Amino acid sequence: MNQPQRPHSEYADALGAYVLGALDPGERGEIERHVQECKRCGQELVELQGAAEILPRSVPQLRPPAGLKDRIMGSVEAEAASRQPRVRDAGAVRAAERPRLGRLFGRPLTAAAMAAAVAVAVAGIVVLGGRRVSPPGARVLSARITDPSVAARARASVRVVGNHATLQVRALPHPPPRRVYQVWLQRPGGSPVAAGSTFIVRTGTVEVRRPLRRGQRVLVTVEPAPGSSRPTRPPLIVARPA
Amino acid sequence: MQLARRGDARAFELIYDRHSTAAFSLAYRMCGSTTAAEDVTQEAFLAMWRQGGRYDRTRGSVRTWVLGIVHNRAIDALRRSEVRSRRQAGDQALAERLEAPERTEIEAARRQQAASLRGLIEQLPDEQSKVIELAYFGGFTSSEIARMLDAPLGTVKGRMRLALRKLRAGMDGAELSGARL
Repeated sequence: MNQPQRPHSEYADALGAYVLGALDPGERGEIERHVQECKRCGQELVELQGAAEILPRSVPQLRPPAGLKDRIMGSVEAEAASRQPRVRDAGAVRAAERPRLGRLFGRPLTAAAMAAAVAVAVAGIVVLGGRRVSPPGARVLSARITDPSVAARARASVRVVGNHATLQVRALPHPPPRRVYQVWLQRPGGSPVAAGSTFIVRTGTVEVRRPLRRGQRVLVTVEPAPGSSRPTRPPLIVARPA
Repeated sequence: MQLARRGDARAFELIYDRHSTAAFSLAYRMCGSTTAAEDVTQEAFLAMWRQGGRYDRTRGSVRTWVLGIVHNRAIDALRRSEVRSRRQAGDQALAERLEAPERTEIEAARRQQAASLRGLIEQLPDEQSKVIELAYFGGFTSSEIARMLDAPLGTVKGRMRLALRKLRAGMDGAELSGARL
């Protein structure tokens, strides 16, 4: 059933409130239907919208606090990396030499190089594609997932060849917004040291960029993007030496 | 913008650099605290990043799109009552401490433009500038404003319309309507 028509003046008077976002959803809909039929109100609406555009531009200009850009771009870069295709050549960029994104893109890159650079250099994600071939001498460390609700579905293990380790994860939960998984190495009695690898994939293989020394544990924590200098939370994954 | 829509973080960083001052300034003006303004600005930029494909250049400039999203996010925050109780419009002391430096000619021009636009708003009669303040910067609906001011709803709506028409006339008079800094 159609609602009774209001007098034209009521619609016209509500145009300012419509432009300012000050109408309830039901009344917004009524105005939108009205201006589709009423040329005069449609014209006035355009004019009032132009006037309302000056409101956000009239405020005193203030500098955003330091750190806001890093937080936003940390999330953006991590999400951009997760959208890229898998990267096969993991060793191209050393974590210690990782440049900031802005500097990295200071010179022109091809689209493919850009995608690979974002995936490898920025988020530190290294997902090795293809079929794995176990070289002689490879060993697998048992990895424990400390959160029982995650352990019920997810799996993790660490493969070691010489002093080179790779972490394999399957069915991890998505990290919370603006968070990444970060890999650490810890010698007995020592503090965890960043292994140069962060990731947000749920299933895949992540290269541990630092050499794994005898007796060291491999830890994974959830950290604010793009990563922390020391763990801010207890480890979610703990892999002990055999 | 095209690259940012396709998920290019570097292109998005340029959008942040170009519009973050205006975005944060609007969020601060609406929320009245740096913490809340930071949260709103962060939410808004991440929403833009995730919904970049929704930008439609036929409906306005990137700046208008950015400020529209910030405005909506700030209203959401205000209506969740997270910041309304702390809102202190016109905290000039803090505003001055945070004032953006004029690093480029365009920033100086934007600041000058903002001052000119504020001048237009300040010329409105009190009852009209108040409804604009409450509706646009405070996130209140016209019904809420009518209750707050103990005024008929139709009167409040009429003041909003009249105020915007005067601003429009002022813009045309001052040749500001085409300003897109």
